[in-house]
This record gives sequence, structure tokens and C-alpha cells, in this order.
Amino acid sequence: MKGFLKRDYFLIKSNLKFYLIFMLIFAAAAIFTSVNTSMFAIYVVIFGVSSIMGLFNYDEFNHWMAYGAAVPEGRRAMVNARYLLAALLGLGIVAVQIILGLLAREDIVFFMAAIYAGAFLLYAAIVLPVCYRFGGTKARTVLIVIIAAMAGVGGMLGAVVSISGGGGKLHLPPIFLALPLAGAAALALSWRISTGIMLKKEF
Amino acid sequence: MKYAIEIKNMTKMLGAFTLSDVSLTIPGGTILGLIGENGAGKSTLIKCLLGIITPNEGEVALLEGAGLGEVGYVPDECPFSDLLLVSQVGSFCAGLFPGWDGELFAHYVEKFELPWDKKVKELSRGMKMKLSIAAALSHRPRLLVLDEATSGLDPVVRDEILDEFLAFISDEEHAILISSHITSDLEKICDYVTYLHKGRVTISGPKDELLASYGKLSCSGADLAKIDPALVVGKREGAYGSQALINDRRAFGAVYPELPLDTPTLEDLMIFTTRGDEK
Repeated sequence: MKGFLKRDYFLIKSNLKFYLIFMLIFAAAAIFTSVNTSMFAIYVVIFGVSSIMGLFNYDEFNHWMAYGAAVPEGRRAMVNARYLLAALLGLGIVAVQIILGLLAREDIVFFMAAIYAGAFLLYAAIVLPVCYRFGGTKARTVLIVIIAAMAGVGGMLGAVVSISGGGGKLHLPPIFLALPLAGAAALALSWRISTGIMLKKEF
Repeated sequence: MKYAIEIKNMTKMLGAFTLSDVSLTIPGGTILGLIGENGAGKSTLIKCLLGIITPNEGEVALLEGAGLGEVGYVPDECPFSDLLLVSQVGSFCAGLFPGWDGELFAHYVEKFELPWDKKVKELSRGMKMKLSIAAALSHRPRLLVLDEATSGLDPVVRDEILDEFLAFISDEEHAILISSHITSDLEKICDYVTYLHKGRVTISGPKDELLASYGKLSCSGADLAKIDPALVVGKREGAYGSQALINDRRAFGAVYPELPLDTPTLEDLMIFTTRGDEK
């Protein structure tokens, strides 16, 4: 698995540098302005999403999965590596949101970190098996539908908060803190499904 | 090691195409060349062998049950992403293959004059293929499987790579399966040849024996018309003469001593077999 994880890391490394620069800018904005940092975390989620989708495109372009399948225990290792990467990106999203929130001295730092990490893990849990089943290109359609659905849910939550008079200060129920756990559970189930797909898949 | 590869009655159905009832063995210390036209089933056979696809029927044994750990695979296209550096390929391959030898990889990178700090996208096709071969050899496999690995390379690079393959099978513990359209390459290095035609093994055996048993006839159309069709694999008739591939050189010589036969090439075997099939 180490080899597959390293290969994926090398492929997203250049993107990581780019996003680290963005994070520094966001951090400066969080310290010196009154802007809400949660919008920055959206960029991190989008980065995580696009990184994972991009890896499947690289896989397809180079017929990497066929090569990986010819490596001892390659099919399982490929899936394990990518899920571990998704989990690490989820942790990264939590860390970035917490750091930015603390720098900006916001009240709902942990809630927002939990929401974004949970959303990302749930997203990954859905998209990864779809990518393994249909490939990165076809999975784009699914991505669009998921993002639209998430935007819809976000909009509804915003409306609820606004109607309940919480526009000034957001008061979220503690259950939101469990979102990353729900995301992790979904990711674990998703991992089992993806492993099953990959063990049977022909390239 | 008696056989590096042992395939028994393997069948794989892929849509309208079927790889039918393939049986072949590759003894240790030898190179088997897999030839055939586009779509004949060469890549399908290799994929079945490596577990990339699963055969519908039949048995496949690699290295007497040793499995994929001691197999080096070189696909027809470089499997390493354009964005990766040559050094990064070495770094992550160390985590892919249990027997990875970093020093050996460095040796091949230097030998093939591959630039450590260049991205794969900056390499020529020949260099990409050398990188794939370096990666395949650096975990010290006992079996090397190459799918069209020399296609699209210039003769100098091909010759260099073929020398590397000959060095690889220095003892009976190593073997190579190589598929190629470039039959002249296979003629140079192969001990055994298997010709796949429309998903079936049409010709298979030791290369020298095969080439010695077949004969290539160049004669007039009138002479060709006299020959027993059972001896003719395929023929090519033109305004200035005709050519035919004869399947039994000895039997032909006994019946038609006045017509001399030349030794055919593997390309002749392929072309005339295809023509015979179209009759």
C-alpha cells in the first residue's frame, strides 16, 4: 500500500503547494480582517475533492489500474491507499478550519470544522466507489449531482438559521460535531464496496 | 524451474472476441515470442496471465505457483504518470514490489541514461519504455512479461533493449514472454514462438524448428497451380510470379524436388497464414 500511497501523494504534491500558499493568504485574512473563515474551508474541501477525482483521471490515462492489478495484492492495496489518502485529506480539512477559525477568534470553530470534514468524508464515501466502478470521467456527472445536492442542503440550513433569527450568530446543535464520525463510518462502508468492485474488475 | 509459464486450455470471452483454448508453456531460461495481427488476442492472453482479467476456463500457473511477486510486467504504454519525476517512480516502486532493489534501479537509470530530475512527460517514447523496463527489472523478477514493449522505438533503442533481455535470461531461473508486431526483433532473441490468429494458437513451437519445417516457395503461377493444396498454408499471386508458404518442407521436397524452397521469416508465417485463412 505504501507504494500506491506515495504515488498518489507525488501526483497531488504540486497542488498541495498551491493550496498551502492559499492557506497562508487565508490565515493572514483571518488575522487581519473580520471575514468568516468558513468560506476558506470550502476551498479546502474543493481541493480535496478535485485531488481525488484527478487521481482517477491519471489512473485512466496511464492504464495505472491494470498495472497495479499485476502487482502482488495490488488491487486491495490500491483501494486502501486511496481511502487512507481521503481520510488524511479529511483530517487536513479539520486542521485547516480549526487553525483558521482560531486565528479569526470565531465562536463556532469546531462546528464548522466538523461540518466540512463530515461533508468531505461523506462525499468521498459516495464518489470513490462510483469512480472505481465507472472510472473518473463518468464519475464527474455524479460529482455534479452531489455538489448540487450539498449546495441545496446548505441553502436550506442557511434558510432555517435565518428564519429562526440566528443570522447574527450561528447556533448549531451539538449533533453536528458527530458529522465526521458519520463521514468516517460511511467511508468505511464505502471502502468495503470499493474493495469488492476492484477485486472483480477487469481492465 | 521447469516452466516459467504453464497455460492449459485457457479461454476468455470478451464481447464478440474469444481467446480460445490456449495452451502453452515457457521453459526456464528461454524467451517466448507472441506474434499475431492486431486484435488476435496477444494482450488478452497477457492480461489473463497476470490476473488483470480472469479467464472463463482453463488454468494458468506462473513460476510454478510463485505468483506475481516475481514477475516484471512492461505494458505497451508507460504506466507512470507524466507528472512524476524519474526519481519519484523509483521511490514509490520500492513500496510496490517486495524485492525492490534501489541500487539496481539506479544502475538501470544510469545505464539507460534516464535523467533523475526530469518528469515522465519530458521523456521520449524510447526513454519511457526504458523507464518501464528498469522498473520491471529492479525487483529482480524471474519472469519478464512484455506487451509490445519495443513497438514505436527506433532500431538502436530496440537493439539495446533486446540485449538487456538476452542478459536477463542468463540462467534457467529466468524467462521472458514478449509480444510484438516487430517479428524481426523476435526472430533475433526468441527460443519459442506462438502465433495467435483470431484468438487461437495457430502455430507454436521452437522457433528454429518451425522455421526449418516451413518453406517459402517463389515460382510461376503455373507451377503453383500444380502443388497439392494440402501443402500450401497461404499464397500470394502476382503478374510476375507467385509465392507460397509450404507447411512441410520435407514432404514438399520429396514430391516437387525441382522447386527450391527458401527459409521463411516469422513475418512470412504470419502473412501467409492470414492469407490462407482468407481463401
